[in-house]
Amino acid sequence: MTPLDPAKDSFEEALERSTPHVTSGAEIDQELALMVARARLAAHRRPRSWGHRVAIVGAIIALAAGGATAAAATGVWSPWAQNPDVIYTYRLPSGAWCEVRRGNVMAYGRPEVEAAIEDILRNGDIFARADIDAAIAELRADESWFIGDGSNPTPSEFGTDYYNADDEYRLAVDRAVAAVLLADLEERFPDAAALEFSWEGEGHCPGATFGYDQ
Amino acid sequence: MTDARLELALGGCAADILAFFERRVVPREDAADLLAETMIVAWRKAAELPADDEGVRRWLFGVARNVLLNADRAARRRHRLANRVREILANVEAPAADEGNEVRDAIARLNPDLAEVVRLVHWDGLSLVEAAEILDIPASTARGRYQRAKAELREALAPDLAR
Repeated sequence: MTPLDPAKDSFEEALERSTPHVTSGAEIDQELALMVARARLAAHRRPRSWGHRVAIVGAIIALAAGGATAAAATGVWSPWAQNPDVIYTYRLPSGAWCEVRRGNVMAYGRPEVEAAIEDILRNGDIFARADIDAAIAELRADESWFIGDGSNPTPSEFGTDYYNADDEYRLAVDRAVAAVLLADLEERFPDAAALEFSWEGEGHCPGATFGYDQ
Repeated sequence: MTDARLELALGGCAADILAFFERRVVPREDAADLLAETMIVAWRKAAELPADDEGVRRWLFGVARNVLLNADRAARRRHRLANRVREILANVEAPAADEGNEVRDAIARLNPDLAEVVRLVHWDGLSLVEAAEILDIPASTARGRYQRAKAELREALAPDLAR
């Protein structure tokens, strides 16, 4: 039992000790990070454009990649990634190889959408059709990147001292793959622009040094 | 810029807001869906985000409290995006009964307005000023409720505290 704090009386101590136990730990922290990104997607029912949709999905992918750091460190894939819908590999500018797994699709209240996405991932040769060069051009034209904390951000986009080519390429691949998926969904569903769904991605890139590792 | 600030704030507060719900709802795993609802509402109201970071945190707790109040009046929604967190919470072992049970029961027997001030201050670690903002009441009202709550709790728990 924790000794009483002499600065507080027993009543104050009793109030604080009545605090109910809550759940904590690395597992729930990781799931909460994913939930933040998925909630953003769920909240935006009608994206303004496909570009906007891709940006949101990109956010999910980027957060899920945080899990990839753990996967890369331990060599163990998350439970869903042990049975993914698609696996593809590619080489980063630094020469390191990445293996990416995608799956764990969820489409809110639309099982036919979920099935369609899984079909596209499994059978649609999605990586081969991804226009990565176009995604890189889009990133360089449309985005500003920063590293560091919110109060003192440092530019890290293309052309700056902190630019990381592997980071850019990895993000471009994610976006290009997402764009293929979204284009295929547009062909299958008249309300594709209003669809709400999430999917996870996890990457394992041994030897790569990404900007967020610095 | 607003989106980035909200994403950062939600990432920083998610665990605390989940704990806020875990301390107040039964079964425990319902906290996951309430957290999901809070996040979705926050994204939809992103234009109302306060300018300062501390204000954002209090704002998020205010959204959480309103989600909790609305949830009590209707069947709780289940959000698929909360599935994994709900699973984790459902598998948490219930802690053994401890001396805190009697104090928690005494808090639960207070007038709900008084009880919530005590919970926000002593369970969620907020100041009285922060609690007042979250409850959307004047700080003086929060102080008054807090003093009344403590007086009633002291009387109810006196025999236990004397042990």
